[in-house]
Amino acid sequence: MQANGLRVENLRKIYASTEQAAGGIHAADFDLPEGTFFTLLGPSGCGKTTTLRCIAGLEQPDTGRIEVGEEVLFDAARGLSVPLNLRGFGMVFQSYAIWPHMSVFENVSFPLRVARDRAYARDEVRALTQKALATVGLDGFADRSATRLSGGQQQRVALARAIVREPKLLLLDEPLSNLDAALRDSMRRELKRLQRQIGVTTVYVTHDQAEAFEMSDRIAVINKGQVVQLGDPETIYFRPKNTFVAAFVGNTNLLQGTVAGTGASGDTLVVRLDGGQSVECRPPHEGQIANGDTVSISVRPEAVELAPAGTAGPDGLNGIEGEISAATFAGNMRRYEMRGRAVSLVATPPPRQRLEPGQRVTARFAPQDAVALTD
Amino acid sequence: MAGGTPTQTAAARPAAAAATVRRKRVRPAAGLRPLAIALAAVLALLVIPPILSLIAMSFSDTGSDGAASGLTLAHYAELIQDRSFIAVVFNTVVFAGSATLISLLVGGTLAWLVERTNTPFKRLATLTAIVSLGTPYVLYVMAWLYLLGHSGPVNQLYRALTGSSGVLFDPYTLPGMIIVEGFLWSPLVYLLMAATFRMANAEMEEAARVNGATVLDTIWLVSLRLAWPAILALAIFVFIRNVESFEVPALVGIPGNVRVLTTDIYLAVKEFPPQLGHAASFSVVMLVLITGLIALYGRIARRADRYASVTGKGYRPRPFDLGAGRAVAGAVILVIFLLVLALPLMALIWMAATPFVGPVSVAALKNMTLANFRAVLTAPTYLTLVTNTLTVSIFAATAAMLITGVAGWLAARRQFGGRLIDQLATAPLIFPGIVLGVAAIDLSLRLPFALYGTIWLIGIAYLIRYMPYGMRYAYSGVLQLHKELEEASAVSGAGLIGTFLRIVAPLLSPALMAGWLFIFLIASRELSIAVLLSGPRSQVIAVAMLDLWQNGQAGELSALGLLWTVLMVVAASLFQFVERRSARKTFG
Repeated sequence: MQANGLRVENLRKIYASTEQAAGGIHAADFDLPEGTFFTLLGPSGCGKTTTLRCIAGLEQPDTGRIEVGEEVLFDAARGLSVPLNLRGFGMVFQSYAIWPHMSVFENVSFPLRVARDRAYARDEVRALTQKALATVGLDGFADRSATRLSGGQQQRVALARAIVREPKLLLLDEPLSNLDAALRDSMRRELKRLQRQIGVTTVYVTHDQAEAFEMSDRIAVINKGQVVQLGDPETIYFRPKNTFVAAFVGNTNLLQGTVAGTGASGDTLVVRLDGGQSVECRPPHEGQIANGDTVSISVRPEAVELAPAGTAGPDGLNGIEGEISAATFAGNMRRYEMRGRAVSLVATPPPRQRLEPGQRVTARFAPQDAVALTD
Repeated sequence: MAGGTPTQTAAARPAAAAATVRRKRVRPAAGLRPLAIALAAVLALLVIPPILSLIAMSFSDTGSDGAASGLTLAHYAELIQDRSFIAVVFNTVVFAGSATLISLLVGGTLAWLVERTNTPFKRLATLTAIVSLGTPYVLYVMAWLYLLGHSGPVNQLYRALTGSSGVLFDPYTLPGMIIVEGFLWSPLVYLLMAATFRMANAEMEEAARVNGATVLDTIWLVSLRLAWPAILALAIFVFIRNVESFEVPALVGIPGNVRVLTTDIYLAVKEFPPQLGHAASFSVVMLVLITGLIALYGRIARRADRYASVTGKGYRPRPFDLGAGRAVAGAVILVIFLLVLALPLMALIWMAATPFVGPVSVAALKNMTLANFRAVLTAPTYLTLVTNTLTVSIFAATAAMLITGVAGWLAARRQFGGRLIDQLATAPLIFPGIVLGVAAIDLSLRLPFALYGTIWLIGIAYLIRYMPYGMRYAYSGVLQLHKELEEASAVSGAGLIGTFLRIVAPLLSPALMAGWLFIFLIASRELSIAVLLSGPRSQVIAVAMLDLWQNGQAGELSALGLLWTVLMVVAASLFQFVERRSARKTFG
């Protein structure tokens, strides 16, 4: 493993609670090279924050092992746990946790002032703090009181505090969720740029799939305490492992059917939909499949083209006949619902194409844009 | 890494880090264990002996010399057979219950008017509360006794109007006690209820108004229903304090021969030889009663918390427009101001400025003098009194906040031992002051060194008595701090002690400061503990005031009381200022 990469093995932390269903994380495994931007993506209560807090040392895992670089930080088998304040990480909290009784400078320089592994000289503290503030674009804010900051500025202070000590690992717990939409959008790119610049391995927790796709090198999709799929953003989006991933990482159509054979090209499946239509799609991400198995086919709405019924389309596309049942205009696109025999589809073509409710249409999509899911 | 040299720092670290790993095979919270254990031990030492002492005393047979000589059930048997015991319990319940109703009515009305309507004279209500908070209760009761007394202005006016020679009202009766006690607690009820009304979500009321409810409908159907658990909890709290109250029962009840539990205990101890067994069995009865009430209070207060609907957006609800009712509301506030503050204060000034306490008359105006003030300011005994009182109050407040600052944090953050520490620190709530006094006498006499008769015994008793209040301030102060503030410190590399000193303590200091001032204020006017523990060399001001009153030196007493009140009002204003400002500054 590379220096300061992160390796997590069989991490498990279950909350036993009498009041509600037990939460936590069941078995998390991942191995990240240094500099990876890694995102834990999932709905609220799925265990992603628990995983992050275990890595930080804020929670004690029940089982498992956590290593950064060559250093073992936690190993349940050996009863070893490095206290969180000696782990040398940087973390940005959801609420930012800017201490209100300290100035911006005091907040950011805090990790240097309490450091145990070495004593920082006064000049060094000042220089490193100024550098961290400059990195996040807050030059000149050092003497500002921490209570006199906007949400975006607080976010930057929290980030500066997290990177001032040149941490081995940067942990971010939904840092953008408290910002308004426009700021969230620009901070997303800025955070990514910053992470590239300092090259620190980063673990990012979010429930927002757009954030995850735009920023991450690798994504772990978590549901009910299980890592459902781990991969790069494109694989997660285009080749989801199951219906949960397909539906959680973006809008999708799920068409029910049974496997009827292999396509002409050999790398596709032929599936007979419940309404009798026959379509070709990619086989599941992993695992065996046999004729007669029931599957769901996931097709993204933006991959579906609609054309008035009867018009000829290009060869090799799947076609499903139906009637427009609802049409809405959303600015950058139109959203149509189409109803066919035992099937309904959503399509989001560009806004220039205009269809009316009641119109007969054919929905077309390429076999490469459709993937069979076994659950 | 910011400099783009990740390999260098990364290479430098593992060796040092590996050494760290081998050394630190501990759970993060382990560093706190010795501290938590030590704290629990100190608390146990303060809290448990008084309970044991009372129980032991109530079962021990005392000879004529006062020494214990075996076990007996006689004290309890006496209680059951004694007919006056039933009368005493009955008096206590009627007294405490009726006084609670009066103070809730007066304080609650005032709080609602000030916090939720556009009534005039809002500042007057706050002024009344602050000045009352600084006035020793003895002084206050005395002023009322003068006002309502046989030769006081109320009966004077009655005789002048009707030509009769009798009295309209005799204060030395159960109704007299109830009225004075009710007024005594109104300002505190006002302050506590004001907080409830301030925090309540005004959107609930606005929704009712938007949906067509009148102001009265809204108050009846929404405001009162929402505030009900909080009001009930407050009522039980005030009831408990009235059961424990000593000033009014001692000053009004004893001369009027109306006995309640606290005065019965007091008289038993003051008898010669002291009837400690009798006092202790009465005390145990009180402990059981109060414990039951506090358990009830806890249940209701939890429900009140669920009802509390804080918006947290710091937005100020728009007050009700009373319209033509504003004049009525203003008049209500003025009358309450007169009754609760202006009249008693004027009575004190009158008594302090006249050589002999007599009826209010124009003739007496010519004899106005500052002699009483001169006497107070020049006599060295009064200086000693002030020093003693300040010393014990400052000691109790400081020690209590130091202990509860740490205890509150351990409890609120559910650290090791936090639950036990919480229970120990809040346990003294069950001690009425007079009961704690009885226990403290017994315990101090068993010690190998001389503690009885010194001000330190009083200081320690105050500390025990007021620790639960400190705990309230510290505990809720910690709960208001976002836990991520501490986690951020730990991730940044600070240890638990470092986090406590650098993050928790500074952020908690406004709450601790408010708690300190509150304890200082109530300790400096405390009578019921000190009345049993004060010796010739350890007088505190409230006890001295009681003595002066019983010796008939009302003039000097009034002068002393007024000067002391000025000092305490400064402290009370500071308290109010800190309370209001701290929350805004830290959490806004």
